[in-house]
Amino acid sequence: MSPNLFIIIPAYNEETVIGDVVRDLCEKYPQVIVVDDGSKDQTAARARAAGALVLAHLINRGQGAALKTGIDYALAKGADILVTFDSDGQHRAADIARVIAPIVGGHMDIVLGSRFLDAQDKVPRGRRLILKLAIVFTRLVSRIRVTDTHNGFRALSRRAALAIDIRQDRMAHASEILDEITRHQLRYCEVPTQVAYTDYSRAKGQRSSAAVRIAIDFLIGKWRK
Amino acid sequence: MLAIQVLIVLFVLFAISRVVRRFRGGGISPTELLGWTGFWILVAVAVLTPELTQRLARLLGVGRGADAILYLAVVTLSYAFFRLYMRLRDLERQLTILVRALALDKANKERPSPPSTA
Repeated sequence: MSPNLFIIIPAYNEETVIGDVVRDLCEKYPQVIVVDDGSKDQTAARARAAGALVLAHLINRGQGAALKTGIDYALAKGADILVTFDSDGQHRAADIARVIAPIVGGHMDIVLGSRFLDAQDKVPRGRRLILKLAIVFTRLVSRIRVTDTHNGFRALSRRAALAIDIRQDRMAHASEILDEITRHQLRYCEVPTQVAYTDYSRAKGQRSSAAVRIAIDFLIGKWRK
Repeated sequence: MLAIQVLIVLFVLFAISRVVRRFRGGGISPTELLGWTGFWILVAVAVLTPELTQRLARLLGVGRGADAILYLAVVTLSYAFFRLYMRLRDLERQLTILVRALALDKANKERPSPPSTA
């Protein structure tokens, strides 16, 4: 019996690309959940039209919050495997098979997509230093070694999804997830995934200066636990 | 009276009137009314009797009354700010919990049974 797979896509004002992203996924994976995080545009309608189930946050709470909403819903519907996927078209549906394979195989709890395993250096230059610093930071604080600390492409087993507690509403959730992996001693691995940096996604992406805010949010959140 | 004393006392009267109006409108409790009024009265007293602040300063080992008030104010305000900030964070978290509950509730009403794996 094939595992119950859900794809969770947090989205905020992505009406221009969300339709394509969802349609692309629905070809192979029928259970796509788009969490509309208080978008002011047609994101929800377009996602729904493309075949996704849409969960709607009435107000914008952040990617972490949206992700948790999607995860909670999927778990309630009996999900065995959950895939987190970006809404801006940077991730490829074709990579999903590779990302879920270790979980289907039963020897991993969580699989993290990495842009840097394939040595395909398409990352914009300004970003590279920040990302390298993030890796060091993560190693020191969360005691987990990964090559890509902020990649929204992940696969979680039901067990991992139940264990991980995402309390960070905004971008620090990515660091928090890594921290949770260590805290719960989950079996994890990275697999190479491709990222398509389009002008659209680059324009929408996080400013590198946001990294400091993310680090602070994460540290304070960790301390409060 | 010095100009600053006049100004501050006038402001204290204004502040107290605001507090009373809030209480009348039902926005704050009797305890809060007492608390805030008491605070503003203390401010007025401190400004009107500089000998008091001078004694406080000597007690604390600080040169001038104004300096002592300043130091205490900075420390108190910083702490109050920190407390407020934490309150804000808690409120944000609660807001998210609420928004999430609404989202899941709405979804479950629209689709009570699990979507079929086509």
